[in-house]
Amino acid sequence: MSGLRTFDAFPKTDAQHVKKSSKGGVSSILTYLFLAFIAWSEFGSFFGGYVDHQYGVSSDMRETAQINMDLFVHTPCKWLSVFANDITGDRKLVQNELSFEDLPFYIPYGTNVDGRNEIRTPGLDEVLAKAIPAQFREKLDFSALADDQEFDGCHIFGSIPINMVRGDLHITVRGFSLADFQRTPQEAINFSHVFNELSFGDFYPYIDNPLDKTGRLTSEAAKSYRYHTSVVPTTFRKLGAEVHTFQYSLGETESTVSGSQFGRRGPIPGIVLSYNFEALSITVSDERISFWQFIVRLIAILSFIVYIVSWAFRLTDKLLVVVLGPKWSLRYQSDNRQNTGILI
Amino acid sequence: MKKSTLLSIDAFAKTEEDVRIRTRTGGLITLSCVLVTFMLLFSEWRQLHKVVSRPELVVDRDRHLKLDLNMDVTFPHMPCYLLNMDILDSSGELQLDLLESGWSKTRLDSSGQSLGTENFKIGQQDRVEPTDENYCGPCYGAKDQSQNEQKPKEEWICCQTCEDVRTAYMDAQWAFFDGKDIEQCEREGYVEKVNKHINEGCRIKGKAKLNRIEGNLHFAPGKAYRNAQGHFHDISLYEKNSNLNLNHIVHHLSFGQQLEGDATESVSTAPLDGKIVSPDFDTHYHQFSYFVKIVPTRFEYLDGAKTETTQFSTTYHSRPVRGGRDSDHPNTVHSRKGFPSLYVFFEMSPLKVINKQQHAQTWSGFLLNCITSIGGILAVGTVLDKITYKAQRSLWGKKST
Repeated sequence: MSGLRTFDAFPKTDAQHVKKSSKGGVSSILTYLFLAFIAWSEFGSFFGGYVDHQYGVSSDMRETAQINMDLFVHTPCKWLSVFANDITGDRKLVQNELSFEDLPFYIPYGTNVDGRNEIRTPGLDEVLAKAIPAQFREKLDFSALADDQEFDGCHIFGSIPINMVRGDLHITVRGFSLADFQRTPQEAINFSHVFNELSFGDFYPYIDNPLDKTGRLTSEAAKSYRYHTSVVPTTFRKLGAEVHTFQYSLGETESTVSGSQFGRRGPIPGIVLSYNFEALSITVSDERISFWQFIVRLIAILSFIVYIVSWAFRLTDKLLVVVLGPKWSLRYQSDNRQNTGILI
Repeated sequence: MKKSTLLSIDAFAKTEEDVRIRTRTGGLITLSCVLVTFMLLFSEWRQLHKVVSRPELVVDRDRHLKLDLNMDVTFPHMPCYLLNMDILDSSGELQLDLLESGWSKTRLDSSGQSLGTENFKIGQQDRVEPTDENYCGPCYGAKDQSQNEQKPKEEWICCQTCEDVRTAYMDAQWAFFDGKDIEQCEREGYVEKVNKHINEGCRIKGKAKLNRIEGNLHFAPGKAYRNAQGHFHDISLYEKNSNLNLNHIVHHLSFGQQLEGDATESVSTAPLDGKIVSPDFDTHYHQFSYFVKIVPTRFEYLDGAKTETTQFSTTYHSRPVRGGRDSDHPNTVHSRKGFPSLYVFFEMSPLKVINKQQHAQTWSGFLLNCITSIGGILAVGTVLDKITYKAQRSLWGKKST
């Protein structure tokens, strides 16, 4: 067993052969504090991780998704017609899936009217904090609260199932859609509108989207608004939590349907949401190195600092001795004892 | 430089051997450190030799390239002779001349067993010419033959084979059914063949080259024809047999070169493989559709080899061709158009994914990590040794170590 001693790569020196100084003690304390700070910041960055963006092509078989919408339109509900169609040839009678509430048209506080929302991409933590699933409330009847107010607007809200292919969601007035024999009087048509919410996939009302809280005002009846969206499936992952949602990019056009065309074939007044689902999907995930990698790295950094500090200490000591003399030495100071030994 | 000057700048000061104390615990710690160091170095070595694929996104700038189509599909309730495949793109061209190699049609019995394979080129049929040189076959009103007597023989309008009659019917947009009572078809055994094989299935396998633009490929029963309204198929025989449908099994569908081995991990070059579509309701008048978005992809391997292929995402949809409200989703109204078929609509993405194979770590990174590991272990060893040494001294005195 004593043969083990020969393997000892960390030989110790007896205390009597080691010189210590108060300045060395101070520098040691400062070093320990610095090491504690470095360790703390390294732990912080380890637990904080880093955000990794990956993109790929989804191999899942896709069929349907949903559009979540909540908007005010400056036309009474009875004249509105809402439907969706897409390249499969399907026509979705979404009128039956949505809730329609008559109300006096107004613009909620904080709505960006005739402008665009500030372009910003929500971060991973923000999305996960706001990813609280919800459902739309039931339809309410406000007519009892009318109080001589004109109910000239319509609140349309709900979730609509759609095929995950290129398509259009139309909000127009009656008389322009198929098999619709009612004709909307021109004075009732006004497509001023406010989007309180427009998102795809599971309904997370607190996550911001490009069309949320935006509005368009017009005094013309024959106005057509078209919103072009490219929808990108996005997954957010952090510490086991996973949120599947959809982001979208937005382009928009508006046009006035001329009197000669009004009510004939061609552009019709209304709001059209064109959607297209992209092939590429994005995965935003919170990543971190393995715990053992982190420990090895931390120890290496700390030992490197200790080594550098001890080297700097020796170098400074050497410089002080050379420049200012031995009494300025940081290491070899007299301990102020009287040398009154027996052999003096 | 003087020796004394060199000594004065020696940052690695040594302790005299006489005053150094070695302990058994120190030896154990050293051996443990060596063991752990070797483990860490081995893991670093493995990391150095680990191959990872890093994706890169670029705009696809390739021009004049064709898109390879690789397909292997089984139709359990559709006989081979009735099944047709067309490839159309957004230019309106029927892609018949782009077939790289012959496609094989394998006849299947009702249990899915093979009954024999024949190769065919899309748009080509075997002609069985009559033996009599003076024979001029009737076209049964599908073509005007009334002026034949006034013309020289080489200008006569004749339908010599069953296929000629069938083509004439197509041109006239008449339903051909199974060729019953048409002498050319009876002579060639076409009617007998049709009725004999009507309950068979068919497996189609092959490759083609497509233009890199939006388009579709589709399988449908009966011969194809076009008119002002669009592209259609003569489904008269199909309509007559209600047990026929386009339920299918996609054994393989991919666009571009096929990948070997590990490269296929985590990429969707063929996400439809193994897809079985066999609904538990009557699909005789049903159209099945796959909307495919193709993303060009290049794999760059460590040895410098490159493979140009594609990945794609798919949306599946099915609907009755006669339209009407969906039985499961009453708010969905299907359009009344088309014919029983299996469609694959494809469109190209302007973006390209480049998957580069590379080592997870560079040599310089490997060396740095090795040094870091060794330094870290030595530092831990030093601290542990100091702690144990001081603990032993305070607990058991100087001699116990």
